[in-house]
Amino acid sequence: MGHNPFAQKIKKQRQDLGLSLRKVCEDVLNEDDKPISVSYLNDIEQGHRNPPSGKIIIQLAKALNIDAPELLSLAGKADPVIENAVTEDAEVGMLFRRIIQEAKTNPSILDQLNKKMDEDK
Amino acid sequence: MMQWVDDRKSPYGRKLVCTGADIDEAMEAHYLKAFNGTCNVDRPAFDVENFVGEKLRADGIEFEPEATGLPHDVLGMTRFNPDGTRLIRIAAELYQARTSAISRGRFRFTCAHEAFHAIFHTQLFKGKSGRSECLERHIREDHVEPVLTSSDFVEWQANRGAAALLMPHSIFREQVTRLRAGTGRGANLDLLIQGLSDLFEVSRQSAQIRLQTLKLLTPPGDDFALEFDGIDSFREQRDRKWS
Repeated sequence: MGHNPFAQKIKKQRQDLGLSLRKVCEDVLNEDDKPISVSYLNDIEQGHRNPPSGKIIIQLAKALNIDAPELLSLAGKADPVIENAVTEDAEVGMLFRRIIQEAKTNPSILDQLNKKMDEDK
Repeated sequence: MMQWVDDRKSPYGRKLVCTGADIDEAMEAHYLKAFNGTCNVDRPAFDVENFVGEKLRADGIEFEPEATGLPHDVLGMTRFNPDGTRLIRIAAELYQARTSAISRGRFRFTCAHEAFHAIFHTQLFKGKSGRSECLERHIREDHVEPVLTSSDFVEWQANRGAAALLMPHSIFREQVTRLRAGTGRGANLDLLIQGLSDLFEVSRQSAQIRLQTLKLLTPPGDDFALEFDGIDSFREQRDRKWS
């Protein structure tokens, strides 16, 4: 039950902000739209539980003033927006996979795509 | 003096050695510190919810006042985390009933009881990984002194500590004196207990046990009053050396 980077990050950030577990929990809702329990967050911080769902992680990021993609990355989770997009549209999924494959051999493709999208705005 | 010692008989491998008077002193210090120098002896009720919810956070103690998922008969528990932090959990049913006349005293005593565990029993599970918890099912408030078995120290200490936090020795004693000197309430034991219960916002049972613990059930000089602890009083009278 060692500490993981995700657990360490949220615990340290909460303590640095001087927030109680209880206060953070008030701003983070579970799947039933009820605040997550203090003991649940305590267990996550202590590494007794795996990181929660992407939805909860994004709310945690907001409550703790952390960059959401960073927290999702530490948790080893994909952004729920991306997950939903891939699930709902097969073409989006195929495009993602193509970009990932291409980036392995040609990392500059990401810069090129970013630039192209900026130009198209 | 409170001191941890190794003890093979204890299920924890160690125990906290102290007297009831040590606990009274330690908890009175917490009481006074929480008031930050503004303690009013005429209004001595301790804001225990604020104490466990806010004041103790500086010591790494967090508070979950509406804990769900506890075994149905558990009032509260203290969880000792491997990193040294602690979490005090109070059963949601008890928390939600805390403003009722029936449950208020029970809620306050349970909070204070858990606070003692969290502050002083930090070494109970030292070196153990995973979840380590003290659970409270039926708090026996009258269990405030050690008995022969070495493993029982955890609960009597927490009970004594809870009473000492809610009814600090010196202030409690002062109020007993005042109530006895005043009209009405002090003259009658039942009214004295009710007066103390109202002042300290504890149950009548808690107030009565504190009177017994501090040997204040009978007024000074009334050593032959036999209503409650007459035998002890008689022994004290017999053993007294008159100057």
